[in-house]
Amino acid sequence: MTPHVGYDPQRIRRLVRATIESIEAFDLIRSDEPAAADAVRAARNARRNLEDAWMPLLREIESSDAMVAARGLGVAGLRAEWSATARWLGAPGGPAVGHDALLVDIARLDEQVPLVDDDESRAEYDTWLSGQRDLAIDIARRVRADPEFADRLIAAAYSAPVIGLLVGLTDFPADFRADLLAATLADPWWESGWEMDKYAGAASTLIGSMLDDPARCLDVLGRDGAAAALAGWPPLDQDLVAGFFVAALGEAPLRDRDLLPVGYASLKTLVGLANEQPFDGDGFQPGAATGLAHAIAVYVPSLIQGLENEHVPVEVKSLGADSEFDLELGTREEVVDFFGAIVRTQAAQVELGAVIGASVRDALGPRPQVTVGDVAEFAELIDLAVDNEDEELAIAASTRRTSMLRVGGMIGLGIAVGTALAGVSSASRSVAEYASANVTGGVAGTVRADTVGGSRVRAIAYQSIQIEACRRFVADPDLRRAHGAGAVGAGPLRSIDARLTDLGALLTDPDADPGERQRAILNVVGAVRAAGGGPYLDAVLEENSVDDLTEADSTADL
Amino acid sequence: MSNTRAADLRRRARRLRHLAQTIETTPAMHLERLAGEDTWRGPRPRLCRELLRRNLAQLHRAADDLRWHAYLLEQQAAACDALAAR
Repeated sequence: MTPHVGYDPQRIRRLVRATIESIEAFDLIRSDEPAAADAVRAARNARRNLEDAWMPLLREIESSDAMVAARGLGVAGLRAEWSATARWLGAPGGPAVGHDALLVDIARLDEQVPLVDDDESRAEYDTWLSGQRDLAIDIARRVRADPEFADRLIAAAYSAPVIGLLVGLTDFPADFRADLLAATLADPWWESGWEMDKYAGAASTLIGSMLDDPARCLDVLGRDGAAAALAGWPPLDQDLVAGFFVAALGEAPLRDRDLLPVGYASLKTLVGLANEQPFDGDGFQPGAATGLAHAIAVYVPSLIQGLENEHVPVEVKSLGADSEFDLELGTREEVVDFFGAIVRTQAAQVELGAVIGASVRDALGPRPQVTVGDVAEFAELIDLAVDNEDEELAIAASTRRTSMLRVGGMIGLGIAVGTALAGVSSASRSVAEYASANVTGGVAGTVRADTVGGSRVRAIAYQSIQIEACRRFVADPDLRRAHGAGAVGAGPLRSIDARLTDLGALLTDPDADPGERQRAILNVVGAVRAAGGGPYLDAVLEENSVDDLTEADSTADL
Repeated sequence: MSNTRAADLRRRARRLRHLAQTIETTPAMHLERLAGEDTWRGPRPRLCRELLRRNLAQLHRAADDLRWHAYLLEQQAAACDALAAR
């Protein structure tokens, strides 16, 4: 027997009116009290449900034949109501009843997600989640078979984050995962408790499921609100976020150069964010900072061109093999603040330093994409960013009586790693190739902040340029001949090579004595000059105006 | 000085309690009554009701949290008064 599903116009209108009043009332629930953040968010969530789920259905009912027919009177009217309602419910293209029932089940399931607050409850949660595998498989099957159902699931992402958790249990279509992640990141700013855990768990699950698909990561990063959430929402798994930024902004354009402008568009968004609260005050979250610092290597050649001559605003353009683009990244000051938002994270400092070090290697290598002068320009920019952040922290320390944390102490180590890792044999590796090498975590996880002193990036970059030039001098006989040192014997070259090896060990040892490092650098440079390499070193340093870097702290420790 | 701080804490606590009350008296709290099976029925209205129930549960939890925070602020205010009275 078919159930009676007629609608009373008066009741429906009363419900429409009450729904609209409720939406308007939710609009008025605001507070700048930090403790009220979750309450305001709950009100906004409820408002969205009424606006996105209730009102469309009520409007649909209001305009349907069922309502029009129900206005008739008597037996004829009731018959008309009945047939019109039946037509409306059975209309082709309408949602299948099975799907609706499943969506109700999912909404209920979301209420049952166990709270995790210790190891025991974590184990219970894992058991509970793995028990949902059959449901996940059923949902994945429906998503593949019915795009409309997939869209409805995505629309429900803000009400039922459990959908994101289920994605980790089986194989869902890649486009669906990307759309669901974008929807989850669009408004995820719960700050505490069970709701936050669910949203963050769902988003982290989805992020983890996408890391092997850099192009889609880049696509999601460009969606509304995604960059802000990824860069600023603390409860996300920060390792996964770092990997996401590396995939989206680093690997995607490396695999397909046509995506470089797309990556730049997201960078532009991030530059904008870095100049707004909370990022302007607190910097990016560690995962975003580290991932961005790593991925920035891909942009260094074209970015550096945009920084030349103190252009305001910073305009980046395509180079050589890149597809055509011409984009205004922001003012120079805004770009400095962008790097400032990165350098507050120590692992990101190492990454950024490594990019400078790799750029130095590239600039002095056989197929350079950048000049030594370009790298010096970039180092100056980072130096300025570090200074600005130091200054901000000093002010904060004086006003809030908090301890001051000196920014940038790890950049020197990064530069050392970038210049010393590969040594002479791989000096030809490009900056872009370097970006695909996984330094993240490996180096940052093994050093202590207090073991590498000196944050004068410009001076450290100057030293690394000197060291790399010494390496090139030893490795390249054509270069020696070109600079009048073709006659230098094998003995002196072996001696310099040995000193460079010792220096490499000192540079990558965070416990090494700074004075010993300085002496080792002077020894190498002195030996190269003694072997007739002075003209080459002078050419590198003077012709590229690198000597300007020494205006900074000359006692900086690499 | 302490009295000013205590007054500020109490003012914030009052605001939190007021917000909790606003949330709990919002018109949406009565929507469920108007949205029963006698008004609309079928799987889609059922989903709407289900989502609303979930939202209302969130709002009630949020209101409880607000009152808890208000209580903490009042405790701090009392501590300030006690310090000032010494």
